[in-house]
Amino acid sequence: MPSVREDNPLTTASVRLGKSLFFEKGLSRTGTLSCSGCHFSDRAFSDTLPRSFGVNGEQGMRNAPSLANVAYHPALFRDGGVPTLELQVLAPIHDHLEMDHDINFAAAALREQEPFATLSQEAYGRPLDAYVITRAIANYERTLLSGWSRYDRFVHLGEPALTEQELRGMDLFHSSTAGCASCHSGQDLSDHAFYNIGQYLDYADNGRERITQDPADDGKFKVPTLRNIALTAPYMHDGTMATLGEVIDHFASGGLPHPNKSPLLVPFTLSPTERADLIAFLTALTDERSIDQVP
Amino acid sequence: MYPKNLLYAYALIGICALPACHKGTSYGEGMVRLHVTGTWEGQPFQASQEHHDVLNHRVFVDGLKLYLSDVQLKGPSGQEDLLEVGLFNLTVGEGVSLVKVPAGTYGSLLFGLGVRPDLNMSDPSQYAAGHPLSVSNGTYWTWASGYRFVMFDGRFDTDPNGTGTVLPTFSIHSGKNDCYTTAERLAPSPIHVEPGDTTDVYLNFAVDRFFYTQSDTIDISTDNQSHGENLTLALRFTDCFVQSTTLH
Repeated sequence: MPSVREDNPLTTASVRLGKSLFFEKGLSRTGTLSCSGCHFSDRAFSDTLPRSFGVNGEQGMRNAPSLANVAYHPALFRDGGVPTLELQVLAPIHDHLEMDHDINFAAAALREQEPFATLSQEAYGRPLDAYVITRAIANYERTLLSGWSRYDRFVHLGEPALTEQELRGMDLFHSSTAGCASCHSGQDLSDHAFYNIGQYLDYADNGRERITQDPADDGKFKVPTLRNIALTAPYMHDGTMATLGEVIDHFASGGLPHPNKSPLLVPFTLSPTERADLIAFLTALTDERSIDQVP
Repeated sequence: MYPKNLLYAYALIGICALPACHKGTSYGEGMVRLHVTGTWEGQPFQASQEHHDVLNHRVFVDGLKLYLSDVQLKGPSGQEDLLEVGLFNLTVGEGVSLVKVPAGTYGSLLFGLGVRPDLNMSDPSQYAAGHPLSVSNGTYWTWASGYRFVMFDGRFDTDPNGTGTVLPTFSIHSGKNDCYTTAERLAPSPIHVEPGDTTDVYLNFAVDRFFYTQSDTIDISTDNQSHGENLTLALRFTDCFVQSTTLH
């Protein structure tokens, strides 16, 4: 179930306010960057860059993930360090590498402007402030739902929506050979767990370990959704893999022998045809309609 | 972009504190003025001044902010709350909090260094600017959903005779519940709070002791960064911070 909070009911007004704020550059210190500046709606709310640039011209710490279905994530960010969407909103606004602002000052500057003034009162019965901003954007993000791909039509509606090549790729995806579905499972095609996939022998970004302080979590990152994966390149926590082919080749190699590497990663071999089939299937996970539900 | 006059006002008094709830005025109450101070080898601590640490490194402390939680006076008849949570910026001088407590004699001060775990888990967006837990204080780790407890920043030089001031930096930020530490400090003499009077209580941090304890010495030239990813170092510094405190 999505994480709707009792203290933040999902109302039309709150979602409309959240969308207005999501696209508002006034949330950044320089007034030049909005949430949508790194989470593009036509890219399943991800970025096309390995790591996005903030208002100071510096790159963020990690690749901006897709926001599709974040309502279903038990923990936010690639290391799972933030438990709620409301708290997550604070991070990019305050991060010096991103919007580099203070949410209280941003709220004060926008408070009298429309549509914020009216929608804030309508949604939360109070002027725009940090409380309202975090809750409204969180609610808008809760409405970014993915589930209208050809794969969904095939699986849930029984429609012949997949090509022969994509069906072969789907079989491979679920096979023990490739083992993709071991972690990319469920409605969101992610088990939302944390794994080290042997991307590096020595991780510059320690991932989950930063949160847990457990060396066994060094290099572990949350399994991303594969929904709209064809739109969300580049890949991995640091955006260092440009194509789905590169990603498949990495997993086929079994990854580098990091001590924390998941035992689920074992080398496998794909023929060029199988590799193309798998890529075709992954492309069929792209939504056929916008994941943004708000007009 | 920031309302600098507001920030400056906080800087001048060096404190942003939320006094604990206290009882209404009565004949048997007095005031306690809690001072949170810093010293270096017994002298008032001043930011960005040249000092030498225990390993004879040149050290310039440019920033020192810390949270205290659940500050209480302890006496024979129990404990009295002075402060639920406060943010003290010793970079700009001592912090002061004035609280009403029952008259009587007290023998020690209890405190927690950091933000108490239940408050550490709270949502900072519910606190307005000016509140010690407001996100506007720049003390909140958004990536970890918790507060930095002590922010200790500066520069160092391994050459004790060096003269330059553009130097490598140290930045020790402790946080996360593992670093929350409670302590009790005995008063050198009983603290008498008389009805209607004000009594001054000083909790001092000896900043020169931030680099060593009786059982540990931290070499700032090698152990100089902690931002949540180095819990071992954060805990070593936390031990130094707490052990540096005295009550007078």
